[in-house]
Amino acid sequence: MSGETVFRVIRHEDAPRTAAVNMGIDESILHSVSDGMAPPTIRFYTWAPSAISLGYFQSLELEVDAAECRKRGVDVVRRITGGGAVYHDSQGELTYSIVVPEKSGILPGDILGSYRKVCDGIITGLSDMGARAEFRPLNDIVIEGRKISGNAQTRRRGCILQHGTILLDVDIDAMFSVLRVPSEKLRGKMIETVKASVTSLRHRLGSRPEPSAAADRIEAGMLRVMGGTPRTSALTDEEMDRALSIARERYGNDVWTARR
Amino acid sequence: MDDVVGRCDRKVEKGKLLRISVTLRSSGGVLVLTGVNVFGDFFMHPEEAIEGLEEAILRSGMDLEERQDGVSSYLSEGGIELFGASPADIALAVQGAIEDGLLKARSG
Repeated sequence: MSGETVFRVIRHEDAPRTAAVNMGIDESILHSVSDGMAPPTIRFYTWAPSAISLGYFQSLELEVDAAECRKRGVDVVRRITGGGAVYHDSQGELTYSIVVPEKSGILPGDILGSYRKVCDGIITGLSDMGARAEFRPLNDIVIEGRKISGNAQTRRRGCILQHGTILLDVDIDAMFSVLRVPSEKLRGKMIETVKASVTSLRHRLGSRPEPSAAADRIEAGMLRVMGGTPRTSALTDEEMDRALSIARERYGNDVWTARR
Repeated sequence: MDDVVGRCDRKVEKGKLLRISVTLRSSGGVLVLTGVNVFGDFFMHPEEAIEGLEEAILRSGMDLEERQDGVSSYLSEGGIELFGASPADIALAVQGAIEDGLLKARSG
């Protein structure tokens, strides 16, 4: 890829949104890039309230304690990407998405290769922050074996959409208060196992970076790895209208969330 | 006899967690497979192929080898990519759910 690729960069990390709207925006950007109305796009965002996003193939009933989510005001949304349930802590996570045309050559055609390339950009950004990380196939980034970033990808409308998390801080107890576990008897043990297998930038760096500071580094890392030039921008009115419509019809719709 | 639901969770080594749910129904004195759901944190491209995968499993019935062949054929013929589990993993996890259902049926 030449260094001339222009990436639209949308920085939403200081304006947290609901789960349904966040997923609606990612899908709306996919439409824009697919229709040739927008260049390849990288977006950074955060969540309010905290939310669980379910993978496309997961069972709502098996994975989520819906009553506890309602009690705690935690959103639940189903993604269009596979992978596992993610607890998006309103105080502890930076999320990104990237949308590129499949035929642009920006990302490799094979799925593992494309995960690796996007993740290499994130790893470069993390390294610039002083956190030495590595890719763990298929879709994770780890530091000394502990996960700091999970990623999920779909390919639709001739585009690759990948979104993922970067843990700024992590509250495993809050996470497990709304997630179901395969065996209630083993809940305590599971929580301890997860605590030992997950890390965050706060753990690594001693303090939690601001989302925008982390986004600066991750953006720079991605652009370095993919060889692009940034053009910071906002969503168009049309994109936002479409995002809200998608959020209403799909991601905010219980039929979609409970479809599996 | 009412439908019996069997379940099986199977963590794939270096892969993802498959969570299977099957429904068994008595037909002419034998239990037959009438419903399958393949849940989990795996990846499949395109994602919409999951319903077809479940139908392929259903068509293959109770036999493990036929099921594995059915899953493999469905994926290869459709150009469907599966990550985090193999056709054998899925076939075995479904077998586990069927056995769970049979056990429940026997124990009334």
